[in-house]
Amino acid sequence: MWIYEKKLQYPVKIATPNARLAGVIITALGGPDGELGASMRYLNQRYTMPDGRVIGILTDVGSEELGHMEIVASIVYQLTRNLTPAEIKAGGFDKYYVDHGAAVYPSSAAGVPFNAMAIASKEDTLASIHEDLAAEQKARAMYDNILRLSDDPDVNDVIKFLRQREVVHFQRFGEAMEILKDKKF
Amino acid sequence: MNKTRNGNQPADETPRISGCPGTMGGTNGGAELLERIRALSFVKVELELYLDTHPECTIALEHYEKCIDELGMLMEKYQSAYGPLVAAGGDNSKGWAWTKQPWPWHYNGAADRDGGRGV
Repeated sequence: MWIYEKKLQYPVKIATPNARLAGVIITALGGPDGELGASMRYLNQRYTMPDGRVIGILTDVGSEELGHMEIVASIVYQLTRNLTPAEIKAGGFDKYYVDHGAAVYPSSAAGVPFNAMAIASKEDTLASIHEDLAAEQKARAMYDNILRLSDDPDVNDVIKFLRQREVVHFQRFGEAMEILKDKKF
Repeated sequence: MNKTRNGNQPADETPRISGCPGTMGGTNGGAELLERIRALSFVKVELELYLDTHPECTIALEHYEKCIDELGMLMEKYQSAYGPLVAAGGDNSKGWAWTKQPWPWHYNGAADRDGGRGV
């Protein structure tokens, strides 16, 4: 059961709308290495895990990723305010806009709707936990790419926070892997 | 701007959780209290993750207990003055308070919510 707290884990205050950047950052929400996938992966894997510590970390990281989903959506929401049709077209955001307007829709930057094929949930615990470690690295690399593509300091400040969280999650999943290996599940 | 290359970005300094003149909390001191709550909530989550894989760590547990005590106090102070952060936390004597304040992603506060965002 989830409780919602009416605040973002990290504040989002984007002074300058930017259609092109919105089209890139949407991938951190609905792309293959985005926050929606991350939360679904961990929250689904936890059910059949054999150790309470591993269930705990998957539950709590999965829940935090829902909060990150909200942060990314907030960035996209603020980047797409008050855009003119000319700005939408110039930013290459027209293909997204025609189907969604400036609403938030989980897809990749390339326009692929969120696909659960990007996640794995396997009863084999070593398979799942290795998937989780790889996922955190892929997400960290995705945020590195966003930092290469963005000149906006308001956006980059938030992205750096999200990136750092992936690094911490990777640590915790490494510990979960040791737990699973030790008990030879 | 970093050049495109393989490998990790250089280590960034830990991002500050800076005071943000957000739309929540209004302009009479609520914003600063909200930032303290935000920072402490972050510590809470960080400790929860750590304790999940280190349940016997008494030092982390001590920090955690102190954290949630202070957080509880700050939440009560904020919610009584500025509005609910959880659905049950509001003063509903003048109607359901949960839906009245701006939501966390709004840029212009109430103006956003009332259709002032525009595209």
